[in-house]
Amino acid sequence: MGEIRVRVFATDDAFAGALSAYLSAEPTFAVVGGTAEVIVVADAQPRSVVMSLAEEAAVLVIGPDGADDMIHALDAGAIGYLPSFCAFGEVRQAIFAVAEGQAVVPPHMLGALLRHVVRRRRANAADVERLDRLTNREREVFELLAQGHDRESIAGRLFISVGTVRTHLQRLFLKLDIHTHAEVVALAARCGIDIHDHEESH
Amino acid sequence: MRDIEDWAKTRPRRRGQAWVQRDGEETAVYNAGSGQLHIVNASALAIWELCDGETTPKEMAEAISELTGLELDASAADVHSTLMTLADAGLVEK
Repeated sequence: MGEIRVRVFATDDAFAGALSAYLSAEPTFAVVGGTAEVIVVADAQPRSVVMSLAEEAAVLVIGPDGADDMIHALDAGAIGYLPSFCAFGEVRQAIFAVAEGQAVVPPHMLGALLRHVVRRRRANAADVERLDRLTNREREVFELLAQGHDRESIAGRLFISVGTVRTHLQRLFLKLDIHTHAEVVALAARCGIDIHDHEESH
Repeated sequence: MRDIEDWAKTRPRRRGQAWVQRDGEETAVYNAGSGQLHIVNASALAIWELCDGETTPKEMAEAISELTGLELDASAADVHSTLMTLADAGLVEK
């Protein structure tokens, strides 16, 4: 196994120092202050930190021993979660796992996590059923709106009038019981619809 | 095969008054109704916790498959096997 660069991000300086010193003793780890493959976040409320870091590295959170805290961290983009009373040895083992893309959760929280996944899947299925109420044209308008197009742009792409676009929008907002563009984007994302306009990305 | 089909139509429910004591990777589940203590591992406990009378074995398997990356068929087989074991122990009912 190659070297794993690890960064420790903790609100408690003493904890950060102790954990960094412990991890530095592992021959395959390089504890760094910059770019890393694995970032360990030790924070009681890590959500915003995780969201900002999850795109650049695999994030392992050390946080409160609560299922809700774990779920929030994983939803924010963390791959692994350990309770704050975990031993440093467990952190070391977890780093190896998340470096390979494996999820790490406390065994006693697995049930809560699975319940969360079941509920989310049910909600997603309900969202997909909502979209099924739309006509094909309404669906096209919905997707273009989710991608950020305004009425004029939608009309041009679909070769219809702005007035017709307005009518489709009124109908789909009513059918879907949504009222804002933000709700459109959120619903599209939950249903797995690509909300990026690739035609404009070249 | 018929067993799998029977379970597939159910929404299993945890049985009796179970008391859970966790110790590392294993958990002791006490069924006050039968007076028996059962040691279960983390994955069996997780499936037992999903037996709320509303969640189907299919939903359990899909959630496990999404979390672990296991093929759905493999997850479904694991769920069925675990439910059978839990049922034999008197910890879930169909």
